[in-house]
Amino acid sequence: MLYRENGQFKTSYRADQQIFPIAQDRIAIALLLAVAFVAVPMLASDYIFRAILIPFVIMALAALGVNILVGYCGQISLGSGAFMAVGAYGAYNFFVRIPGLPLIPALILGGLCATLFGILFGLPSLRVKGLYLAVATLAAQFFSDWMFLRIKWLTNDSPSGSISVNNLQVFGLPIESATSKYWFCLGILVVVALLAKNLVRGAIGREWMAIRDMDVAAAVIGIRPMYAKLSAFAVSSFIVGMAGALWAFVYLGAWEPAAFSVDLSFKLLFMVIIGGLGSIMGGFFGAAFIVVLPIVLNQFLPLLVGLFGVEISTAGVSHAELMIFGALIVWFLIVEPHGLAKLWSTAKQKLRLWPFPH
Amino acid sequence: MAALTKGRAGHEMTEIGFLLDAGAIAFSDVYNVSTDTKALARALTYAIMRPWRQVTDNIEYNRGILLDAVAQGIINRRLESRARAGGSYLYAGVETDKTSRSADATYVMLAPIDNQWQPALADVRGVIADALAHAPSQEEIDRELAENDVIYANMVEQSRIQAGSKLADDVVNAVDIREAVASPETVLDVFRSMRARYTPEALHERTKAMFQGDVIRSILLTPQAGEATPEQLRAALLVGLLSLFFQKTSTGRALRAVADDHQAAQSIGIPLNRIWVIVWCVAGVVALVAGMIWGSKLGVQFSLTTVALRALPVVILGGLTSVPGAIIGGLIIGVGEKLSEVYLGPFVGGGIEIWFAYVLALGFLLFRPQGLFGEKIIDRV
Amino acid sequence: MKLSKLVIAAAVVAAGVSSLTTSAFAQAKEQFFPLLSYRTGPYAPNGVPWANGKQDYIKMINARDGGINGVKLTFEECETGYATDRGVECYERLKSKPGVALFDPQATGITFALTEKVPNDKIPLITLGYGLSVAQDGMAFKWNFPFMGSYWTGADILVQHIAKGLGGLDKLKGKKIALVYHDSPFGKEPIPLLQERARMHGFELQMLPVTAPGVEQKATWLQVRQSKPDFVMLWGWGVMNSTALKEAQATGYPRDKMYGVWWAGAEPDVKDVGEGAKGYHALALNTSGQQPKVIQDILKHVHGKGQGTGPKDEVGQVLYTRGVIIQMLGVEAVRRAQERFGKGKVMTGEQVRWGLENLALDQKKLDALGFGGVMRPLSTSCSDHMGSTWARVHSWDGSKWNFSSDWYQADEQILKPMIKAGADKYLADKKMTRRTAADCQS
Repeated sequence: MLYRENGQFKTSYRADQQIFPIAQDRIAIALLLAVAFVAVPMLASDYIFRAILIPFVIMALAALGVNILVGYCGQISLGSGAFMAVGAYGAYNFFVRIPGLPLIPALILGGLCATLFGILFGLPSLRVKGLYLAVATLAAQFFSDWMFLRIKWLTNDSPSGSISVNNLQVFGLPIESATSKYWFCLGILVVVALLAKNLVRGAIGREWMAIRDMDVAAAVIGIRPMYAKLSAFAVSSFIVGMAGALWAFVYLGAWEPAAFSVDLSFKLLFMVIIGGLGSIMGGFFGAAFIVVLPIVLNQFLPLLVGLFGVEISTAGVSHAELMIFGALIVWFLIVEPHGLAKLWSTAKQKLRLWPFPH
Repeated sequence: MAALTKGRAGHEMTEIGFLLDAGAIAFSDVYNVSTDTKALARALTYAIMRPWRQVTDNIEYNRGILLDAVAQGIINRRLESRARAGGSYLYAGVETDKTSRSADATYVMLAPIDNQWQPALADVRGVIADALAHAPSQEEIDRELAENDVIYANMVEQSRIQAGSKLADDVVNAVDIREAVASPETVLDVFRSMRARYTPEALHERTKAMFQGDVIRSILLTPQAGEATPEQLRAALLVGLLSLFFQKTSTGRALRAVADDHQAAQSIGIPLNRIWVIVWCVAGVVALVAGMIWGSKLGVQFSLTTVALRALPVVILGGLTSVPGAIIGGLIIGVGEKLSEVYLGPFVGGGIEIWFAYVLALGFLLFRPQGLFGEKIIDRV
Repeated sequence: MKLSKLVIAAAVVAAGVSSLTTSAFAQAKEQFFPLLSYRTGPYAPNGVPWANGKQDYIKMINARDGGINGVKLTFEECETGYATDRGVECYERLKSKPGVALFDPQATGITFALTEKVPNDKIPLITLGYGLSVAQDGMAFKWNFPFMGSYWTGADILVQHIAKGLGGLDKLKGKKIALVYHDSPFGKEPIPLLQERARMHGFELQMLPVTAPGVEQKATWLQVRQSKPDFVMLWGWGVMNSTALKEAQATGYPRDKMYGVWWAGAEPDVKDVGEGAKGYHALALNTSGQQPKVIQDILKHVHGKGQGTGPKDEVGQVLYTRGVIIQMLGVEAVRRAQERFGKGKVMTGEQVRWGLENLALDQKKLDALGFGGVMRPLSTSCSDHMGSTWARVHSWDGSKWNFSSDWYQADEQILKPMIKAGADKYLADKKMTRRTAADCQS
């Protein structure tokens, strides 16, 4: 009843083609942004910021990038951790070697490094797909692991291989407190999400989806597979690289190559699968699920198990995390293969009718 | 091959030239045997042998022999239909024999179509492996029984016209060699009275017992020397059962069909759920064995998952549809990894073994996506 | 999915999230020790006795002494799995608990990350025998305390010991030493010092990295067999150590030519190999065994009452004792801080830091605490956050560790300039300045 578009007539193509054609949607998004930018910093504690919100925002950005590649273009990639690493180290090198380089250009340059790396390791996608491509991207992952351990120049000749950044500032405003970090990441996320949404709504997005659905047919109707696949790799790696740079600069502060291991690649893939392949919303849902779940389990599980009078050690919680995590992924894939985003859109569909039955 | 015959008038019926035109490659007549190597067939016989043991030749023992006869008949019929359906061999047959009180053997004879004796041998072994894995169906049994019934009934009818001296000779033989000799009526009676015992399970047991043995001996007859070596023959006979399982038995083919296309496999009646259960069980057991081998040397920890992930490039290198490919791919990657670390590693500072397997697989994917032994799937875009 | 299920799911998530916003502003009545540990993962076999030692000591102080001058001690364990991001998350969660005293990250990677954060949060970091080697310089690193040794001192002492066995430092010339190290900041730390020593004494240093977590070392030991070094230094942790010894046995490299750092010389590393590791030497910062008085107290007051954290036969092992020592240093720092800032009160992080910086544990005091014969005396100061650079070498005889050398002290002549240079570089990178002398009095 509330969610109908009765009476909302569009009088120009521009209005018809906007991202949120329904006014209620626009209001909802505006409210959401207001809550995210204004209300949350006022209510959340320092711990919530540092442990939940900031990782969530950065991971949502990374999941967005991976979703473009895996969800929209159908190219399975298990090397997202490597792209994040290249973005992080690229941004670090530019930041440290060019004195006075502002933070945002450093991040963008890091993203461009990741783009080049992504295109390079995306070349196999022109020959293979599916499981084979997954192995090819695994090659990227392990190669990058080795590269950052072995090639000293990339870590600025740090003797231990661990590097760090600090004194981050944007336009003179320091990014030290949790709130400023959150706003910075959130700002980047909103901008990139908007750009990504417009990309996938446009011609290139449709080309990607065509390649995903049936690449032979796409080639037949004139879509150049090389261009489409490599552009998917490029855009995806750029976003993932920027997310990697943010992860390293803003969240970790000091990191070593092990921070971008194959576990992170799998985590990103799971985020995208759970959140929903092929939808921008899906990245957000997946990231929230995967960032919040371990922490909730950590707090909840000892209490829950304590109700039955059983003591559970931290190791037990950690193992239970893995088990529950895996079981939930399997359950999700069986019950709702299109992920949480599909649940969300189903809910919206039902909202359009509610409270009427039909 | 052609033979010149003389008609009743004593003249040859045709000319050699016409026969040559018709495609004959070798000639023989009454006095000359063809020794042209192009015309001589190859023959491979292998025998699974058990030591000869003295048995009590009573009716129960002979019932067993009758069961064996039907089991053999089923296998032979399968081999025959396989050959007719375009197999790689001309003829193949299975026979049990207790030879000269020195061996109790099951002979498998086959003649490959051309000089490709290894595929022929693999095919035949596949049919046998299938028979060993699954019990025969009731239809097959009934068919053999019907055929045997006719043979024994025929012998009874013919006995009336046999010379009395033959029958007397039989009686003398019985006393002489101390083995049971039965009249045709007795044979038919025994056979008909035990029809109920021809169950699939019983025949499956007899088949399995037939192919159990301590020793395998084999002879490969080739027209020319040097076509094959004893080592090749030995290797061909010992090719792993798992590989055989996957390539030649019906379950193995069903698994590969499901891997190819689930819907098509389902549409021809392959039970998908059962296949998936089998696949996961086999995969789990093989992984278990691998883990035990590793653990026996270096201990088992959960961090072995990084090692296990290496299975993906191995499978890609070897070819996704081939078990020998996986074995060879595993050897190449396992050995190659370590060698590359030892010999190439020092030039780049070491530690390259983590990505060597993957980059090797990547290289293979670019030039030969089907791997070393996989089936080429043409799907170029 | 039905709407009702959606609602239930949302409610569960909301409940979970709300449980996290519990920032109850409790007044600190107890001194809180957050225990970052790893009981899962490839490093767990070594991490578990360490964590158990720390917990048992806290329990004993509570049971035997009733806390520190009446202030009870509490603790909470957080599983890090040796991963930096989980370590950071644990740190963020536990640092705002009232009464937090100090952190012992138990991992070099996490130490690097936390070194950035502790100056802002004003909580000291104890990194006994690991972490940043240059953090020995207290004037540069106010909040880091690498007690009793770092990787540079350890490498230095190993070189001295090897040289002593050969008959002098000059006998090292022309020898070949291979360093089998964990390919991570932990493993790479000693390289600068070893390169410096190699340059000084003329021995060849062969570096053989082992990819984390270190289960695959066949190629590494093939290289060792190929190059036949005179000595092998093992710089591993967790499952890498036992694998290295098994591989050494398989390739036939004499174990008595292998020298491990103090993190590669404990029972979990050699138990599996047993006789095969006979003759293997490793550095030791502390003794092991159940004889020391403090271990006896723990057995009596904690395990005797069924409160032990781990199995009883783990008590007194090398890493367990090291955990006990770490916790003791923390407790003594709090006690020292209480002497200055108020007995019987809960100490803040800054106050605990002052306590850590002014520890003076001479032999008498150690004996009184029950640590006689376990470790050497330790005393810290503003400029020296390490306190003592003594270590010994012990060897495995197939069933237990026996000391096979005297106490060595790291050569300050070589280390001091390297530490100063490294600290200066760190400060310059971070655009921070050294502390002033006045700052030392706070």
